[in-house]
Amino acid sequence: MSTTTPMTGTNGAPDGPAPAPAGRGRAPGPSGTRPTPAWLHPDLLLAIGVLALAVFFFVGALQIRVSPAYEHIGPRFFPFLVSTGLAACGLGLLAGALRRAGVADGPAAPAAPGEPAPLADWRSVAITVAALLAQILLLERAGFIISSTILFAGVAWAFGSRRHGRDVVIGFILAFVVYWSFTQWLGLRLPAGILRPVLVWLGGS
Amino acid sequence: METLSLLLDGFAIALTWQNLLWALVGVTLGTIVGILPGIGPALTVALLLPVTFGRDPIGSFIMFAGIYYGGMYGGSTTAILLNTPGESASIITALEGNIMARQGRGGAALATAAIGSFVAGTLATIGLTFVAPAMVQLALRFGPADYFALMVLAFTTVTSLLGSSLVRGLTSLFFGMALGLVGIDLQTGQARYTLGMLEMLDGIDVVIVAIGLFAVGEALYVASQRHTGAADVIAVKDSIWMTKEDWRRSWKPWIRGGLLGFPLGALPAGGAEIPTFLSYTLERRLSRHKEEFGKGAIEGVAGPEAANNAAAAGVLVPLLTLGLPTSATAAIMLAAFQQFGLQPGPLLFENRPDLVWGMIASLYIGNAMLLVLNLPLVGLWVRLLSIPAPLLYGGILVFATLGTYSLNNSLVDVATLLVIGVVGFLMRRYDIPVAPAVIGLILGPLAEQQLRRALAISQGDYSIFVTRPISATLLAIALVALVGPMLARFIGARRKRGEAAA
Repeated sequence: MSTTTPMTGTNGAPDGPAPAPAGRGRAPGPSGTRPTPAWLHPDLLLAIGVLALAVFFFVGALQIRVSPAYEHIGPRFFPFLVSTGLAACGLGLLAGALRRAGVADGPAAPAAPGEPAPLADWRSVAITVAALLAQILLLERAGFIISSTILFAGVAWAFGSRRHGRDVVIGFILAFVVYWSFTQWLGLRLPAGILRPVLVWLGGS
Repeated sequence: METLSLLLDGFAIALTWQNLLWALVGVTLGTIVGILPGIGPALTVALLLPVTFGRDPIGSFIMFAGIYYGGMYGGSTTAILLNTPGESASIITALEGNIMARQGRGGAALATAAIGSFVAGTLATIGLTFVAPAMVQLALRFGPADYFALMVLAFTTVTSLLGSSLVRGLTSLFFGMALGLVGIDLQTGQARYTLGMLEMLDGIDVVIVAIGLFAVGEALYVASQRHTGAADVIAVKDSIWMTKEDWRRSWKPWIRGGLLGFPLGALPAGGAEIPTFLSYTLERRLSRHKEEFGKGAIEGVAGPEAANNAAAAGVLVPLLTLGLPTSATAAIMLAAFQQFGLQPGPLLFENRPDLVWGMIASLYIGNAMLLVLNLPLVGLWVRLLSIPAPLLYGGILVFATLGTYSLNNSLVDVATLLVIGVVGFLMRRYDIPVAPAVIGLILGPLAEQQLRRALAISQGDYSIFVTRPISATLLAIALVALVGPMLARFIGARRKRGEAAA
């Protein structure tokens, strides 16, 4: 399992406090294998995204209606502050990306923060997203137990499991136990869906 | 001695069998999620919020506090045996403890981590007991301008400490604050950024954002990286009972770690990372076995692990007395208070002493439970590490969607969860820390409220923030925290350039 830090996601701090621990960040990828051209630093995309977000929130702030009774500290004030802050961050990231892009061929370049790890398994990501979409589409139509079984087996598949039968069985047991205990003992309401007759027959509701 | 009698009242509440049961459930869950990679105490409390809704808040908070403490204990087990820290404050433990485990001294490492956590956790809980009432007295003098300045300070320190660079931390913070703008403006009733959707009027729930960033974003990130090396669980071969030599080398680091961790955690500076680093450096300097550091020195586990737990207890001081969360878990705990219609701060101590002191008393009990749970039963917990990743993440996502759906029985929430999860994945990928976003989302609206209140009092005069002594001091510290590191780096770079030229 290659999980690191769910709490903060601190990845490699080049100027962090004293001992630079081995487990702190991922190993910097070999710079030669990157297919992207040197000027296209990943931070460039990030900066554009952040700037777009800043513009969105700035334009949105202009559209907030202000009653004339309010002077300078109405509902627009803080949105302006936040969107300005976002814009400043976007510019800061942009400046950093452009500065580093100029020296991207240098030996120090791969250690810079913001370097996405080289190997990205897009197929696994896509299957996980699809499994979550299935949960959204099926949760109220097919019911919690069936949709969660599909989600569980789908995610297990995305994470490299090839024992689909086992995954479906484990997912079904988990979903059933969770459904039963949450609806019977913890007072939550979850959609029974097409299994309703069976669940009612078992004494659930 | 009013504090002692309040604490005794707290014990009377915490020692009822229902609350002992809540504490046991909490510390057990906390240990489990601390050990499991990909799930931590912040996410667990967020997932449990719908279940606790409408129940007794005292029992719920005793359970949450148990999860919080338990997560710290469990995190060290994973760090020592797997070398992938379950939470960021265990990074140092992973450094030295994992080497010990590889040398067949895993039992001693686990023991010194658990006993050290107990010693320092208890010291820090005593600290919390006596510092909190004093902080409450101070907090009573705080006006809106001072609260706003305090939040600005928390924003700057939290963002400059978390993540790999200041601008990345600030990006995350402002993103969270921007999400916090969505919904009805509390003061004027104007809708903001709702895009015409009725569901958006209530704003974006911090719980959904936390689950999205921590569970879905994390799962997507791990999925994208799953071909990069798997770590092996190291078997514990030696006894978990430490030798005399181990005790002799451990007890001072435990106490020093506790004394270092609590004040640093209690400052509105956030998190347990810095105290663990400092403790490691201190122990290396003081040790008579300097050559062992980096090769499995027991002091390097004992000190940082103690500091880690003490800092976690310290974080509860600003949370309970000022309503100021400085870690992701504390932010979710604040959301939990809000769910019960409670606002942490001086008034909480005034109005709900049963809740506050019951919770503080339960921390002493939880610490003792955790020592028992983590030493003799460690073999049981270690087996959790052998759950295969596909099943683990399948389970995490089932619980993530379940927790989100049961907030309002709404599929819009689950769809929001997916969107936030994708954003969280991109943040992880582009090295933007996620914790500041959660803190910004929950503190942003509070900061706006205090800012506008302060400016209403001063009739629009901005000088109110620098003429009040408390506010001026806090803002000055915030400025130093923000500019100081930049200045140091700038001077350092110039010096280096000067040397290169010479």
